[in-house]
Amino acid sequence: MTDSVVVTAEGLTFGYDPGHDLIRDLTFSCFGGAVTGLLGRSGAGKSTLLYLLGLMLRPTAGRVTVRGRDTTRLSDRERSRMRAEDLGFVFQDAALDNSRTVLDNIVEAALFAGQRYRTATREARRLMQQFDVEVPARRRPGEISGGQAQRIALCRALITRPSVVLADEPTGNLDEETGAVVVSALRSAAYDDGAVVIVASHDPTIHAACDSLLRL
Amino acid sequence: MRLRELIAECMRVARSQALASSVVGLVVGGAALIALATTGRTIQSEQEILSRIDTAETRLVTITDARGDAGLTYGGVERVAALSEVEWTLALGGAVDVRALAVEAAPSVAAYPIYGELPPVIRSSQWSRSPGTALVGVDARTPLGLTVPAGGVRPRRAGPDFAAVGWHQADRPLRELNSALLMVPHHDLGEGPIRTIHVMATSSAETDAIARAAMGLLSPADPNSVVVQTSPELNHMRDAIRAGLGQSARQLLALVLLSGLILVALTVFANVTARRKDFGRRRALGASRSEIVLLVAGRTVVVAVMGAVVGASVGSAIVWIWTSAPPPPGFSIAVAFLSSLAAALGAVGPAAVAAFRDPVKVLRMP
Repeated sequence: MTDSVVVTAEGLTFGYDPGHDLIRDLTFSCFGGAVTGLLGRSGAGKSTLLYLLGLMLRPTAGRVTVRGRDTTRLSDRERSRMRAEDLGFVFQDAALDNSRTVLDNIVEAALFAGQRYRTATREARRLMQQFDVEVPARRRPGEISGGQAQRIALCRALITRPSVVLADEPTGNLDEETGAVVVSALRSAAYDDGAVVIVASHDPTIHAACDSLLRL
Repeated sequence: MRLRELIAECMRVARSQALASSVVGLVVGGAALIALATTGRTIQSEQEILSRIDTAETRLVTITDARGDAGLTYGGVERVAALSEVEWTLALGGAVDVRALAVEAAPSVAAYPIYGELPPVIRSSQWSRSPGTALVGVDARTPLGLTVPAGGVRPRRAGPDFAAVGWHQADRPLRELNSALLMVPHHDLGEGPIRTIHVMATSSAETDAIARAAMGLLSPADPNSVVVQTSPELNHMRDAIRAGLGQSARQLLALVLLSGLILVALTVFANVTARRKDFGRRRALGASRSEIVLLVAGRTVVVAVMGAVVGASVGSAIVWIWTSAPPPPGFSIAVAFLSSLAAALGAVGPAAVAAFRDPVKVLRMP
């Protein structure tokens, strides 16, 4: 584990409706090389906190710092760039584009980060091999199992080697065995690549795999 | 995203969404086809009418030194001939009456000194253009009493004889020269005064400009003695036809392209609405708003260009079958380009809608 602080939240406050804060005055730090779990009942704001850390929402108060950079002052273009280059997102339902091939789904994220298609394809194939994605790269998401789809979503989140990986209920729809693969992959991103991994989940298996827990 | 990757990604996305791409391609191709099959036919008709009007007569500018003291020179004629809009020139001196030496009672026929080369509209027997030689017009042989175009001719007034050495036949618009002789002046007479200059323009639309330019290049000593003749009525008719047909064709084209633009906008809007989650996901993965706009518009343009090329080709073929002549290639290319441009413009609105959707709202939606 590396001890560098990669993500910090200071006095973070946010609400979808004015006057109703879902997250209020939250302060914490996440370290590179560690897995942080987000706990809380449904509707407590776990996904919302991930969206705030993932720069898809702007806090109503407080700030989020990624690798020492205050993200609240960034323009939309700069936030997009940071999402593409520094952040990786794993959604609960994999959120793959059913009209495109498995390979293109993974590669797309790398293209937004400015990588070349050929380079990204090579990396995507390596990740598919690493996570035992045993489907032809030209197959479409509608033709594969949920477990395979979530592994592909994981490949997509890691293809840019992000310094922060955010995962929202990544094992929610998976069987125990596939869930274990996903957890292992997230731990590998933290321990092998030094990334900050933040996982929102109800899954006790994931809680057990986390280095620290943050309860909302 | 790198530009090259963006273009390639647009093509991959267009291929992956075959149905939406096919609809856009069909709409744009249909617009190009209809535009060509309707306005292309109008343009074709315009071209035919204009080509009929654009005869040699309407393209001819005739400059005449009415009093013979304007001082028109062959050097000036050469400068006029060098203009890019000029097809050919013919410089003639003042007419003299001549009769055949061998036929005492023969009537007089006009003979024109000629300066420079014969224009392509005058065909002739072989002629060395030696000074003192003449060609007899095909309609002048009988009046002169020359069964074969050979023999001496003598001016009615004082002057040396000329040797008729062959014949000439002029086509429109110089047919009146068929009843006259064309002769090369004798050396010792030097360059006589040029009285008439015929200038053939490449297009009747250029005649007024050529007339003005010629007056400047010839720089007559007395401009008042020079008369310039064009065919103003025919030229005005030509302009009126071009303007009338052009306007109706433009209006029709604009209507077809506008319809295509609206249909493309609706198709793309329906597509981005149905796939809003994909655009939210792309934003979450790091796509900027401008990248989303470029992806949507670029994908549309890729398909639109293919549709426009096919539509314009089929439309051109239809016009060709209907009118036995293809529409001007430049027009077909312009229609394909404008159809693609209309599609691109139609895609910008829906693309902006996709780019400005809140990704979190879209992702949270079940």
